Amino acid sequence: MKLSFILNGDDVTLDGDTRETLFTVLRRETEVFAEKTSCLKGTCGRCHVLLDSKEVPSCVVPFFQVRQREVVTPEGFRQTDEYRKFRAILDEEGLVECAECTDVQIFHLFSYLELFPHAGPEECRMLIGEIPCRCGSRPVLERGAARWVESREAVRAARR
Amino acid sequence: MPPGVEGPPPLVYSPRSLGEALALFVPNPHAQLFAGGTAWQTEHLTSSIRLPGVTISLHLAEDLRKVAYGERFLDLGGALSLNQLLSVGGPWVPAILKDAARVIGTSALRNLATVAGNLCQKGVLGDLFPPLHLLGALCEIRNLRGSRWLSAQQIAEDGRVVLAAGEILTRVRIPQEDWPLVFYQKIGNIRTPWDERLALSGLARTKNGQLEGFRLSFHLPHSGLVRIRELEGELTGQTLPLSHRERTQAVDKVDEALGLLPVPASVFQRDRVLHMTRWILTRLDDE
Repeated sequence: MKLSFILNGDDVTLDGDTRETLFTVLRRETEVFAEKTSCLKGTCGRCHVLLDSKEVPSCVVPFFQVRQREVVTPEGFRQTDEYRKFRAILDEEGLVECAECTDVQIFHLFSYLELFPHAGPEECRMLIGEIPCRCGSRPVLERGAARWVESREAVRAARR
Repeated sequence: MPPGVEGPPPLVYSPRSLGEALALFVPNPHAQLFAGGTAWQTEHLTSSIRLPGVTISLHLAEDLRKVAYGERFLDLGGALSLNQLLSVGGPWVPAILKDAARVIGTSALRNLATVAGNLCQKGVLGDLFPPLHLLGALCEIRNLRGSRWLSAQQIAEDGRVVLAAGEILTRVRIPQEDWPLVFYQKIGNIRTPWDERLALSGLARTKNGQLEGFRLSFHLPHSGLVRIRELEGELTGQTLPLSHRERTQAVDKVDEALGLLPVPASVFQRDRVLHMTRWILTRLDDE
């Protein structure tokens, strides 16, 4: 079964089986997630993608559901202005890059805060805790998330 | 062919509306519905999805994601995702339902998991059910011939919403009632042993120093939902703060109900249930 969809801004057509997950097909047919494994239950965060702007675990999404939809992977998200802005805030807060979780956390926080723009510190703390990692960057991420919420609020207020 | 599956790939339909979905059951009466797929996937942990011969995926049916609210009812579309439910602003969605939805899975899983999927999943009663039961919710089930309504009590007796061939859970109707005091606590998750999991749901309303309304339930996964209506009736109308005797009697009643369960509560569950009951009664006194 060949399906067409948008992957990181490009039109693609990939071959897969209806019983395969999006993660399996992306890993086999493209270079996306080539070096990653997944927990297969949607909780580790390593295979998350944006499907029509909503963060989902690609190891849970059936491949047939992406037909004519838009998929953005963490690699694709790295190229966006939003990533650069969020990353700049975290760098100012003293982030030490973790190869395991930094990009995943930014992706995770960004997509959640798009949906719930008024999330408070407790909510952000819970959200950061959803991605298990021992790198110790949680306090930096929490401060960064709070600043991101503030900056977005300022942008919205200016528009009003 | 993906590992772990055999035979030709199944036929998958992705209808864009409820009408289209129902019509698909005519040529495929035994087609299986696919909503978020999160319960299935988190249970099976495989890189492939075992679908039946014909599957109807509801991910494009926008009319099943609608939220409608009026003075008397709130209607939630069956295919509404949990994050869509959480993002409904204003006072329309009861706080206890949001509290329950917020602790289901992770944020990314909540973008996939649906209201109906939570109520129809096999094996366990979904986490949304105890609050919906307290709120007196109804589920609308439709097929091509018409619709029927299922009360929360019926769902509790069956252990989940059981759909016949050709049926779809289209919406959940919640009566609009004011419950200023909300209690929800969940212990454990899908990976916690059954005898260490439980959820408590409680609703209360006070007026002029009296407990005007009170509802309480415990959900023990292997025993089902425990709701002690006798206790609710006894406490409703009582003057606050409750006396020591009233509180002790209430806790004893909960303990007694736990002793009557078909599958006995574990020591841990009993301890937590009694502790939470005392906590709720203390909170009522604070009011």
